Amino acid sequence: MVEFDNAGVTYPNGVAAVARVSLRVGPGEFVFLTGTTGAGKSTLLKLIYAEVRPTEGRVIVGDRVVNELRPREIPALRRSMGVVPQDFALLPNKRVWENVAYALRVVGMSRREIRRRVPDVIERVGLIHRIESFPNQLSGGEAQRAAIARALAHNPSLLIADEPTGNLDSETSWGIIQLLDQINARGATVIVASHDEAVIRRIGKREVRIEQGEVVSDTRPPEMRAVVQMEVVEPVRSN
Amino acid sequence: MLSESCQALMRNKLMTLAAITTAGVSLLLLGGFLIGWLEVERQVSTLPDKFELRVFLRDDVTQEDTAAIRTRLTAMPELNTVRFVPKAEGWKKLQSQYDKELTADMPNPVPDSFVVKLKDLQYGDDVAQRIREMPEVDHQGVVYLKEEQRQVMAFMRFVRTLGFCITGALMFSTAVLIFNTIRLTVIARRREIRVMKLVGGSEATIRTPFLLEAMFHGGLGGLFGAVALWFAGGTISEYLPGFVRKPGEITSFLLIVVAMMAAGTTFGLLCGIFGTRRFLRDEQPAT
Repeated sequence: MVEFDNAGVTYPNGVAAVARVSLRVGPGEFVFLTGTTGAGKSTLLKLIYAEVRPTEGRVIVGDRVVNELRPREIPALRRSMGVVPQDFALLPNKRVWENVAYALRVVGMSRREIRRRVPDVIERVGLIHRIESFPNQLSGGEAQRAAIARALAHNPSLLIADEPTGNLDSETSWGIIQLLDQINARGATVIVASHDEAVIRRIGKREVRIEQGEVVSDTRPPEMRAVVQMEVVEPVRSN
Repeated sequence: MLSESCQALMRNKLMTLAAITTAGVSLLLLGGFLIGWLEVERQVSTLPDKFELRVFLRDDVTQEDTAAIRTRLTAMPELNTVRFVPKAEGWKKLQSQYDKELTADMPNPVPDSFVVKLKDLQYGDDVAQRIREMPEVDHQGVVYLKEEQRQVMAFMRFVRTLGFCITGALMFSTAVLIFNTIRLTVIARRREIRVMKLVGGSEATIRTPFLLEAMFHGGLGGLFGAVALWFAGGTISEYLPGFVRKPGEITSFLLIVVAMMAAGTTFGLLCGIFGTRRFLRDEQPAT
């Protein structure tokens, strides 16, 4: 689904945000990218949706090599996924349903289809009672749900969320993570950048730890470890 | 996309108002100056008509020679009008300028002459020289205000150059003002551009609503500018009658509206294209 192959990013000021990262996220996986602020988590996510291009190595999403895409091919890449940015990026002068509809309109969906999908997806994230509200009338958790609804509206197979629980209280954070878990359970691959250790431990998913732009650990929950071990063992048997 | 633009215009009233008024005032200044300059140019272009060359013929020139020289003068492309003044008429005119008793017993000293007017003052010296070389013309017989013509020509050149420079400067400052205002409206909504990019909007999808809005700002600004110019021109012409005509005497209201709206819309479109360009680019690290 998503693969980093020795991917590295050095900004024009010489700062290396990501260095030689090799990582593979399979279809249907739920992965947390963890690490301190500035470790390179957000840059890794931006590499996936081509907001940042690698200066070395490769990034592959599905069958697309992201660093080989031409600028006009990037919108199609982004339409294949849902992105929840750190600051929600909700449009302040649009109501919740308009924010969701807007994303669908941008990708050229028909009005009829938009009218059908928008209430469904807003209900899915538990925000139907706030459908007519403007972003400044929402709580942090509600704004996050609205941003997730927008990212989910076109049924992407990959959902990327950058610090979705940042600045939220523990109960609200847990609610958001459970929502992401439900989305994952429906088959979508979910990649989340977070430094909320408590939530990550509680949900028990794969955790990739980033420090100074490098992967320092890749921990899988016990049930997943068994699957991975089988995958590793099988080729040995066949040899 | 049109409904998207309309909604954005309605929900960003303050920025919309700022952009429209800036475009309107800028275009009013530009349009006002252009009309004023055209008026000055019109007045200046009548100056050559006020200058004439007097061509005095020799005393021994026959009627046939006079007819021949008239034909030759009329054939000169640099001349606007050629008028024959018989010696009697010339003397009568001269007498009218002096005391009648003083000239009553004097024989007519004035020869037959032609009064010619130039199409362009710059041909004055050349035309005078060519006429002087005609055998029927007295050697000293071409009289014109040589130095004054030079000064008028220099003045006309100055007015035209000044008008051209001020128009250029005004067009540039109008473009900068409208560009900055439209760019501010884009900056105020850069979050919207980012969201559009994140959800996979193509460059055309992202850009089109902004371009439509910028064209609307410019076009409506042009309409306001045209209305203001119409009324301002009318008021100024009342204070400077004879020099500044009413806008209605120069051109039609419809033409002013169409010209200024077209200018505003074009400015808006160009500013929109350049104003959104930077925000459409993705963050690119060094390679």
